[in-house]
Amino acid sequence: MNALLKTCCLLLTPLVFANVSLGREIKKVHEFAKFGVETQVNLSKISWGLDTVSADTGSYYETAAAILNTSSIAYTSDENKQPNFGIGLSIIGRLFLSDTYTLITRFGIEPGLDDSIALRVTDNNNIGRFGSDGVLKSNYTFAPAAFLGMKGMYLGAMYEARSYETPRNHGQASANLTESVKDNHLLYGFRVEREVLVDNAAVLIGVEGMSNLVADSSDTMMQYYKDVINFRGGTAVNGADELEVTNVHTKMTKLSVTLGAAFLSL
Amino acid sequence: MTRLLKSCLCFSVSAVFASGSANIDFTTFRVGAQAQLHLLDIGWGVNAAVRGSNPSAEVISLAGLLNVSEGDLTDGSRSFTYGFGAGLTVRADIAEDFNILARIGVEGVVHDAVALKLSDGTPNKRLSADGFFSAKSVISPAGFIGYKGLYLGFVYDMREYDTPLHNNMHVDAYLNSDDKTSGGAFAKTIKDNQFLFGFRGETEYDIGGAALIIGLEGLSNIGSKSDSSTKDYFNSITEAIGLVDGEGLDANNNVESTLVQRALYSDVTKLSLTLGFLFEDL
Repeated sequence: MNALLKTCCLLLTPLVFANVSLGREIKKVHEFAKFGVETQVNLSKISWGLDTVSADTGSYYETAAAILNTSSIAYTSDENKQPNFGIGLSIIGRLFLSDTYTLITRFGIEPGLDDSIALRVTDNNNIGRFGSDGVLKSNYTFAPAAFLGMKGMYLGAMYEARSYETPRNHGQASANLTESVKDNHLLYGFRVEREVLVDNAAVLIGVEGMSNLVADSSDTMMQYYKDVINFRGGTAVNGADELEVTNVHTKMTKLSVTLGAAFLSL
Repeated sequence: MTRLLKSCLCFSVSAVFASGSANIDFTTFRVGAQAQLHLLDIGWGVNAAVRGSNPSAEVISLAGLLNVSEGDLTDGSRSFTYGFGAGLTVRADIAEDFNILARIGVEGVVHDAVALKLSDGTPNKRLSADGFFSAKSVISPAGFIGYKGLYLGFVYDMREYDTPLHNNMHVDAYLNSDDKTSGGAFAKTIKDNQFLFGFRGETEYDIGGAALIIGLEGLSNIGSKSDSSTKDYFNSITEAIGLVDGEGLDANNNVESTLVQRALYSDVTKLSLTLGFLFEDL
């Protein structure tokens, strides 16, 4: 609900500005709407920050908690933490609110990113250890978006509904761990686009920068990381709360270049 | 050298595109000033490996944690780091609808970041999360080339950090001990200069004799190796982590196994809102 409110505020502010500052009603101009398709190339950075406590002061567990508290678990293809590149395909509509102001709505789909390395519980007994040889798979995602702007500069939001397949073969821990988790987030940001005429056809080149401004992870994602970390450091080892996850945050940043064309005008 | 090549490529592609469309003609220069607000997503990724005989489950687990994680520049509430900046800009029209934009600016960040701190000495290392990275103000020259207000370009992000105030006794004990295997040091200040590549979009409003420019930028270093001083610093931290709680030491406190850092990568992403003015043509 909070995310929905943020989105509404974000979209309404420029709308009010458009209506009030120009002193005119939003009206139909020479064209009312245009519809087309768009492709995107994305550079995505996704990570999860685990808030962790350890009641076992002065131990290995306290250092493990400190590492987790000063870092984020990254969605990345290897230990060198390279960013993720992805593509997307969308249907896009432009509603011309006035001579200057335009509302963009877009409904797109993005294939999954390259698989990421992930923590895996590698022992089959109570002194389990972590390895970084697990694989976290990102499934395709739906990404509806809306932008409101003037003169090709837009502010807007995108809802990224992304699900993940968690690593298999956690040994004894596998029974407790969810195999598929969802982590849906609203991303806020900007879009800049320009129309270029290519052989009398209008091609729209755009760039976007979006972020979820750090938000709590979904319940399933939070529970997944609690279960993984607690297996290694929880009651399974030398007593209670040696290493415990109290909260999980998702951090997402996305830079995109878009290329689109309009086919239908109303 | 790779960074320089990347920059040249970035500029060359745009310049070729521009020159192919119209004759390059440096006709107009405009100078101005610009203020920036940044959302910074900065992290360091340690590529760690276990070295030595008979490593414990704890050391192996810590290597696993480091390999899937990035050290964050965050204030501890998991927020992004927000920054600000100001700079001088020069914009040249090189052809119809094509511009070059150059900027030299100074940047700062809003708050310190939490960091790992060596809080116990030899032989039982221990690290806590109550240290601080203080980011210093940095100079950040930038260059963009664009078409109709949509630019591609780069920023050279020259960033310096004051590292956490580790307990001197523990650092000295560490540096003088046999535990240290690779000669790293806990430098008090580290540098991490990175080329960021990306885009900028701007819109211009005429206000009398000047133009008000509102711009938006998205930049990333696309994951590059860290500078040597930062790499050395994190190498020392990684080694200390491998010896935590006496793990990795044998019965005589000699190093039996430890963690080593194979590589350190900086991951910098920056979203910016800029507001500036350009004055009369020169």
